Amino acid sequence: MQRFELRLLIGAALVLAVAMLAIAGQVRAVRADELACLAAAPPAVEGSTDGRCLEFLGARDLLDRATLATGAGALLAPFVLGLFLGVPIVAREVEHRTAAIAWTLSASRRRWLVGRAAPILVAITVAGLSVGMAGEVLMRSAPWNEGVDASFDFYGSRGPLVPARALAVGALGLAVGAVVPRQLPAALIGGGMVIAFAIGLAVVTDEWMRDATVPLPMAATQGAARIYDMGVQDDATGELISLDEAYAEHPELMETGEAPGLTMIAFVVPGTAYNTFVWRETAILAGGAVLALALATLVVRVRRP
Amino acid sequence: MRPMRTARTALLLGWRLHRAELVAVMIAALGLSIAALSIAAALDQITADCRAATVVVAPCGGLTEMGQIYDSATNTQMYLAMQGLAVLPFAAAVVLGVALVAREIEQGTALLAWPLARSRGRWLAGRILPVALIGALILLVPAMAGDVLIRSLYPGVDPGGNFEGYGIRGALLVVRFGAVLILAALVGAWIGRQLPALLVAAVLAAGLGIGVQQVRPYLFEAVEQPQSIRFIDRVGNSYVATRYRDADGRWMREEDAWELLATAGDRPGPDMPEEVFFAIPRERYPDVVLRESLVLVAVGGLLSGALVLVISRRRPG
Amino acid sequence: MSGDPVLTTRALAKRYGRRTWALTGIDLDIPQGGITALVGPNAAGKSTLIKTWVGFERPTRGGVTVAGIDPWRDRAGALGYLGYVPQSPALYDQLNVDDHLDLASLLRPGFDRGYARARLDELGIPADRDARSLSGGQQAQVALALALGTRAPILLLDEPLASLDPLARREFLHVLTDAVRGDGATALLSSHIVTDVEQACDRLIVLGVGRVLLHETVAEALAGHAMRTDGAASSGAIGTFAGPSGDRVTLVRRADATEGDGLRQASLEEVVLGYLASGRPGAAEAAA
Repeated sequence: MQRFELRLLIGAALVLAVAMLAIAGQVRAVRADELACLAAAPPAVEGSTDGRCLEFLGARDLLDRATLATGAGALLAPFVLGLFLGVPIVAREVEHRTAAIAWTLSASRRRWLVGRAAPILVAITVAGLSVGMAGEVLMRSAPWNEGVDASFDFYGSRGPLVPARALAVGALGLAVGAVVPRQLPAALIGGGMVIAFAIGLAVVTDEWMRDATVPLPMAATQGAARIYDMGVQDDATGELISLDEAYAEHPELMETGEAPGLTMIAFVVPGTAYNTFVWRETAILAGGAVLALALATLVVRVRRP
Repeated sequence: MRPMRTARTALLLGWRLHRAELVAVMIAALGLSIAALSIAAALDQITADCRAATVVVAPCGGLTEMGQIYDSATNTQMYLAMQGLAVLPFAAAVVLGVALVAREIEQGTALLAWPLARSRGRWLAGRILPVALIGALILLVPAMAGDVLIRSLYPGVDPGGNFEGYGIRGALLVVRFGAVLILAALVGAWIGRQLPALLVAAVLAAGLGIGVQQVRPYLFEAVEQPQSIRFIDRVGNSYVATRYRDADGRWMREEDAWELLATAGDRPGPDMPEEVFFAIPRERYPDVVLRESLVLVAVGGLLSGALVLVISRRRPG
Repeated sequence: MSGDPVLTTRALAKRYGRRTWALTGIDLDIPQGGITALVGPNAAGKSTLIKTWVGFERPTRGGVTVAGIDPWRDRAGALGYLGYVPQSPALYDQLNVDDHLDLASLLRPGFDRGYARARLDELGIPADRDARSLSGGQQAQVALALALGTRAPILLLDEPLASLDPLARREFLHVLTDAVRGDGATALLSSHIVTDVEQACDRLIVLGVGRVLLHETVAEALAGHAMRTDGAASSGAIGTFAGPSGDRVTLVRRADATEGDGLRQASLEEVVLGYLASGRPGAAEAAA
């Protein structure tokens, strides 16, 4: 029944995954060539890399942009997959007036729902998984992540979060489509709920991050960590104050980035916290998916076809 | 039926048939308008504080007289609101347009309506015009709110002569909505199913949005900006290109200029290329808006023709 | 319109995809006035035939006219003569009955809202009732009222009785017959329930496997056919099928039949069944 959407969206997800892998491959190849060039070319000025191997600049710029673009696609993919494949499962059946015949042909409505929803939710999850795995490969290939093991980079565009979000949104779409049996309004309401849920999750994640931050001097921040906030430390007392307060008391700080007796501080979430955040969010999403599926089952059992 | 009564009936039926989508668009439009107006109020306060402050340099976390905000919270909110206003006409048009024909076909009501109408063109006009009118009226609110926001962000510059916030305010929101509405209706008529049509129309609308951005530099001739131009005199110009001039005054290729600049690093010499900015002067804002509107009207006209053709040929089920 | 046929087809054939022929060379002339029943089994091509007149389907070969107009060349002109009731009419869920009349008034210049409203009032269908809360019979009546409100001289009704209970079917046919006789309109009503149309219809077309098997007035069909029940071979045999008690019976043309004790009057349903049986592969040999 959803052949067009399945082909289009699952196909697009797989194309995205393949594109990400191809870009990762290209990034590695270009970087390898660039490193070889830098090793072979003597520096113009001792200790400087300026002006050498400039022929790689264009390719790197293009690949960086491709990396960011596909990363953004991987961030959006679970929401698009879940919403557009989850909503029509029940909503289209009711809107097309085929629910009456389908629900009476099947031994039970729950069996019907499982038969219809399971393959689609599996397809959503598999597509999300392929995008997530490709995102992981792409993240590790990005030049700014060289030598980095744990990183918050590409958060939400890689790893288990992608299929988890896809499945959760798919389940939510299914539930909304069961309650509001018209596809377009259900898609709009589902989209609104996803945005609200995403904002709520961002607030919760923000709290986790705040709790996990470690203050470090700007010069000592690791590339792998996520800078949550910035502040200023009074060298004499060791007191930490916010940037806004510091700007108000020391206007020259805004102009030059420096002020006597003050050190710029970054509140950093260590990269090693990444897995904890991912599994926490995955657990929340899994719980949400179960609730949504339960609601969908209940609604399908009691509603008029 | 008398004309006024016909129009009233058509509007009422259009509202009833698309109530869910129109309410969603209204909520989005109202929400973004309220956000824009409250941010404008916050910016006005920052400006007032700045003007009252005795210390001129970075007095109070906001310099809106120079179109800059150091209040990070307001900055973030403003960025989100502006993105929302930019996307709103496209999103609204896709949601409303797709349902116009695709829903009729999907729900089977085209079998009832198309023979009643005798002419499918007449049927189409009766369906699309009321929705277009209601949608345009809804979008007038964020269109005006966008203008208020830009006026507050740049208090010294007339919004009617200011390219800042281009595409998030004014009549352009309504014109873009109209063109994309026809595009979405065409996609809906072609595909005949709402959700697949929504997907395809969203992608095409995004393409059209990117397209209109690319077209803007070609809508009016850009002029070279003098090196000594003051900030307050150049804010609001639409920067469309950067070129490089060598020490002899000849134009050079961008790649060659970058290479020279990269080689010099932190030690630029007298032979360094000069960076020259080209911009459409802000006084030309109304002309550019008019020209983009004409382009969109022409595109809308072509799409309308295609839409009528598709509907005439299409099976209703 | 003059005395010319109001609906015609000439060598009409319609193919779906590469191999599925819904209609295979149909020639029909339907005269003005009265109600014609278009009868046949599922997949006989009844809907396809009606949809070519409405301009929903384009003929693969041949052509059709509505009041002398080719609906594919001049759809607006042809539809001006037509009122159409689709199969399983889908009304707008978001609108009530009155809204549907408003919609029809907007779409169709000259739509007689009062007439349509009066028809619905007679049946007790409230104007402010949402379409989704109407019963199947009521929805069919609303669709019929919309078609009648066009005051079109030709009405095409595509299996409007299929999902109606017996009482609703009777009411529907009563309203249709009243309107057609009162306005002097022409109606073509497709159905696979012969007993329903027998009372209301003047002419009968039997369609089977994409071909016209019979086209006569009901009176001619009844007078001109008989059933042979003795199993004996008979000239003028048309088709053999199983009778109500399981025995094999044969429809014969009276004019060509051999008289005998095994002949009796055929009902209209038996006439239809006989012709449909003749349309099956090998039926001609079995009948002989």
